[in-house]
Amino acid sequence: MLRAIAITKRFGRTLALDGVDFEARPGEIHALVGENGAGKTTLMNVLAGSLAPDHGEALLDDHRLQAGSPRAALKAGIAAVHQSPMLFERMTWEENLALGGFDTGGELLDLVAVAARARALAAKLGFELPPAGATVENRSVAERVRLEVLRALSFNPRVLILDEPTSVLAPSELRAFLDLLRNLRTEGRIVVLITHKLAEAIAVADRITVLRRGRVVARTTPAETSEEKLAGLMIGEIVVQPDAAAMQLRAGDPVLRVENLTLDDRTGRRVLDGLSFRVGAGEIVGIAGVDGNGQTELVELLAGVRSPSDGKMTSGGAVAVIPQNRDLDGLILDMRLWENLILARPLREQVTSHGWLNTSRAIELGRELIERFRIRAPGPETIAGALSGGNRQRLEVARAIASRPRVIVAHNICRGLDLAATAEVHRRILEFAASGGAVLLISSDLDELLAICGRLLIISRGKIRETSPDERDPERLGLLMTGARD
Amino acid sequence: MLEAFLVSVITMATPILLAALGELLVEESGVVNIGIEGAMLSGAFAALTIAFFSGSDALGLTGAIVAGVAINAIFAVLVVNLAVNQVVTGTAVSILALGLTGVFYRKLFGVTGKAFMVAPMAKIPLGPLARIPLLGPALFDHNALVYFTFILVPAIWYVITRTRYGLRLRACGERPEAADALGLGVIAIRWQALIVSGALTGLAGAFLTLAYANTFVENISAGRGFVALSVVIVGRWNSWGLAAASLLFGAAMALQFGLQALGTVVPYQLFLALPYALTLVVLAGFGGQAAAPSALGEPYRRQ
Repeated sequence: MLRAIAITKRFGRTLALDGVDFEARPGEIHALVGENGAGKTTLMNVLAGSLAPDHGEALLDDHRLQAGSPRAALKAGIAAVHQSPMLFERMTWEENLALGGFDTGGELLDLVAVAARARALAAKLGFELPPAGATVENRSVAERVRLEVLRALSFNPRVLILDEPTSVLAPSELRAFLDLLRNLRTEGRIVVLITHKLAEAIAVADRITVLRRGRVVARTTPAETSEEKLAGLMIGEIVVQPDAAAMQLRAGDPVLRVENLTLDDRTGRRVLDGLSFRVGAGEIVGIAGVDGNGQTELVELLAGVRSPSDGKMTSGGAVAVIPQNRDLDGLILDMRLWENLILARPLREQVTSHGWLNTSRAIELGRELIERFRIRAPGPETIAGALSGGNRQRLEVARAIASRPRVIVAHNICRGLDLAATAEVHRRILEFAASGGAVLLISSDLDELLAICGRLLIISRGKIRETSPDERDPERLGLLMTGARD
Repeated sequence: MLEAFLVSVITMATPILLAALGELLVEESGVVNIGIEGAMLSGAFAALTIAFFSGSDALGLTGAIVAGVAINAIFAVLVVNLAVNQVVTGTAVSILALGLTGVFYRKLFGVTGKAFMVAPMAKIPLGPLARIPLLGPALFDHNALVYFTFILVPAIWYVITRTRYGLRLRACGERPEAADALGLGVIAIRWQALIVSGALTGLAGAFLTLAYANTFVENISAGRGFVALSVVIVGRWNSWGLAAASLLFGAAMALQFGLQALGTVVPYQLFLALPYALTLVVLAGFGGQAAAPSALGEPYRRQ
């Protein structure tokens, strides 16, 4: 039995975990659910030895785990799969796995033996592996998650902790993945699944622990609870989902026109292959696809940071882009909120005259936007890095919308966001469309696309295809996304 | 003439290569040590002083290892344990060593200007190989440090690319937080790399005083530590590449001495500048950074 007793962990002035008790038994899948910032990942890091708690201790079968030692945790049989895969980008996948438990023990590196063991385990799980000698850097997010899961399992762990592993998987992969977790359970292992997807927790878990703001607020089972009840426990209030139908969005004249857009990468591989589509004023068009099918490149083209090999894009006004990786491409985390906001030229123009920045006006603008977009921050002088994920995304959305563009291009805009933050971001996007803006929403989350998009396009291997209204169901779309049918 | 030139190339290349191989290990672990110059100077000073008073080269070399390791240990405490900026620390360590060796030298040997000489390290001709015309004396009639250095080239290549330890070392340089999560012990591995590098750099310094100049003068390393840093870049983080770059730079230095002696019209300073110019060309033209470890120079600190 895995137990955490009275774990407390503080980061600066934030209390991440406040006396948390947690236990998971052999042969069960234990879902750990909670909003962003509830302390789920912190608890995982404490159990996996990556973080030493301020108070409290973790035990496996009544043996105390050495605090703050990942090696001791692994030795005791606890392996973790992190939210963003902890892989070595420029090493081959075999080398990555050799750093795990496939290690043959000798001082010489035997990558052939490692690959053979990995293939044997992957075959058992129904995982596909990259070609021999491929480095990790060009693999898709889903492939990386598989590699990290494989590496964690290579330790033959008694406890496997997974942090939001499913948010990057396609629907078809998801089913296989949940089956894998069930298999691990039947083998008598402890599986701790960290998630904020409540349907998933209810579908696969035996027991559920709910965290809210660093405290355990409920311990329950799927039979005793429901998605609504869990959501209420997680948030402490009821989240009202924005109702896209009630907005009565109607597509006007095309604002964004993309014609025959083609991109070859440096090696001459075709990444985007003759994309053509239009987005009208007051319309939200969704592009669904499994990560790594050309979405990132499409966003880069639309943002103008890359030039196409062929084809053209025209827009009837300014385009604001909300990139997928908000911490790397979207915000400068070391800078203050107001500084981040005026990185957008239209906002900067509002607070500068003849090249001179009017700081007090910029701060005032920051204060206005924080209020209007309900960003939870002490004030405009706060450093962006101090915000939670959800509030960083609100900040990006605020910056995009306040710049008054004609078109917003958003990529995986709600990845990693909790229910309340997602609802808020969706509401803003819908409002923007209702006021005549054109939105292109690129996402691998079908629920999100079905909830707020008008037309849906599918991107697969760099090609795009329009879907008909009768294809508008998760199963069909999932098949189309994985390219099972063209 | 040609033979003397080849001997000179090897002599010039050896200390640079020895220090560069140590730096390669350090950089693979994710640390960049600009303080090589300091460790080299300290090694040079310790070797000469101990060899001069004891009359033993072996003791001198041991002293150089201890001095190099000590300097790198100061660097390691600051950079690895306290996560201080690596460039700033390395520069400080270089300046510290320059000052310390200068002060100690004057204290011990006075400022008479009289050179304190030691006998050059013994040469070990490699049997019949040393009798091959031209190549024999150039390649197979050197002191032990030269052979040691060139044997290290394949040895370090093997360790980095073919062993478990090398994989762990590279993991720390690629993504320390991931290496830490796998229980690799980033701090320990970086310390180990810096200790080994300290020993090698100390020996490189000893080569300057015991085998090349046979005495000590202030700042005897004269920028060779920085050349070693360049060698790692030009050699693209591969020990064979490091050997090639060292020989190239060694040839430029040997040529410069030759031209100086001959008094030709070509300004010899041009050849002195070659290593640095070449480093810039490699960085600008061939994507030098693409071969560098991803987390190079980034301090690693757990949350």
